[in-house]
Amino acid sequence: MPVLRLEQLQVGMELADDVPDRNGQPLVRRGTVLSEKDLRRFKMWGVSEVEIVGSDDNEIKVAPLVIEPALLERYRPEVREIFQRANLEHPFMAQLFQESLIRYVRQRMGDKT
Amino acid sequence: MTPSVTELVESCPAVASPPSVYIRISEVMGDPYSSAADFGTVVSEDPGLTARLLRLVNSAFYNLPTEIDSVTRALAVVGTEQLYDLALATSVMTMFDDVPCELVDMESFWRHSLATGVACRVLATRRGEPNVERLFVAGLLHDIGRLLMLLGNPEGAKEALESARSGRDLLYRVEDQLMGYNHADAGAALLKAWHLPEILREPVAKHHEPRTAHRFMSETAMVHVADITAHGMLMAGGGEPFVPPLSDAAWMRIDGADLISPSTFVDIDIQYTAAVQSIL
Repeated sequence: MPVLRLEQLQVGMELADDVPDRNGQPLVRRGTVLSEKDLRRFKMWGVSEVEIVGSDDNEIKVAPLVIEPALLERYRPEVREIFQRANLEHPFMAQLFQESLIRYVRQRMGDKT
Repeated sequence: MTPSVTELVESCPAVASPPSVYIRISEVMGDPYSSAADFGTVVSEDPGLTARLLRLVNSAFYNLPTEIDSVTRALAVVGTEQLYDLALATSVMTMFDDVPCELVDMESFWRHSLATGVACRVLATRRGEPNVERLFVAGLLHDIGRLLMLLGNPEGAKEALESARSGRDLLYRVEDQLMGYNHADAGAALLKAWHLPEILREPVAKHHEPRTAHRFMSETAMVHVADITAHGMLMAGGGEPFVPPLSDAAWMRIDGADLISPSTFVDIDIQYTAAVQSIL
């Protein structure tokens, strides 16, 4: 199983082993599908690398986004509005748009609960 | 009659000089016979500033293994220049607490400012800048001219805001059309009145037109990209309703290809939360 540095981790990756804190107690258990909160905890506890489920040749298993594609599609036009003056053909802006769309949907879903 | 940028600064005596604690710290910094202990003494006289600085230093901003419980210790661990810049950031935010700004949601304004500061800090870290707090401050202050305009020319500022909201154009262009200058110019004029160095002034002045920077091109490019990133990450817009376009020149300047990854946004998110909790 590949061992990844903190900055390589992504939301949705699955832990292949327990991640201990500085006292050796498990901070996050094996089998956990990483959320942003977990990544934040690693950073806070100074965890530098963790073992992830997947083969070593870059085929790391990333769980599908918890956000349904239909929701992303529903809100896409609203986020496009916000980006109407931006140059979305630029690769960074395209990536920022994706990030924005996910955040927008999360904010909307958060508002309803 | 629209006031000039100079008149704008002069018409707002409450903010026309930098925060008083920052002036005292600057005197200590400029005095070759002063020591870290003197710096610590000046900061400690302001308990609010001390608390905010220590919270920030003990947050995910630094991820230090042990808790820092005094300014003297923070100076040793974080560095004098760094703490000096963080003190500027923190004291500027407090300074505007006492200024009535009915036209703008101050929390939303500072959230966008902090997000830009933090994004700039993350870019600076990736680029290996020696003092990332300098870039944090530049990003934090990038829209400070908007507050000055709201204070010194509330009607003009309000008209510009409404016009931008109605979708006429980006806020800074609307301001240019209405007043002949924009919030970036106003911000730079204010920082000049505060005698802040050009490495902070130019990125603020040119953050919407980074290609016109001629001395601190990288710093300006970083503030430009950070502002857009903060907008795109929906961390409160501070008045501008749209994500501004990215300047190709600025992007090439910071050589940003490796920034196109989700981890950039995760880093910004973590530090943004830390900054909001520590100093907002």
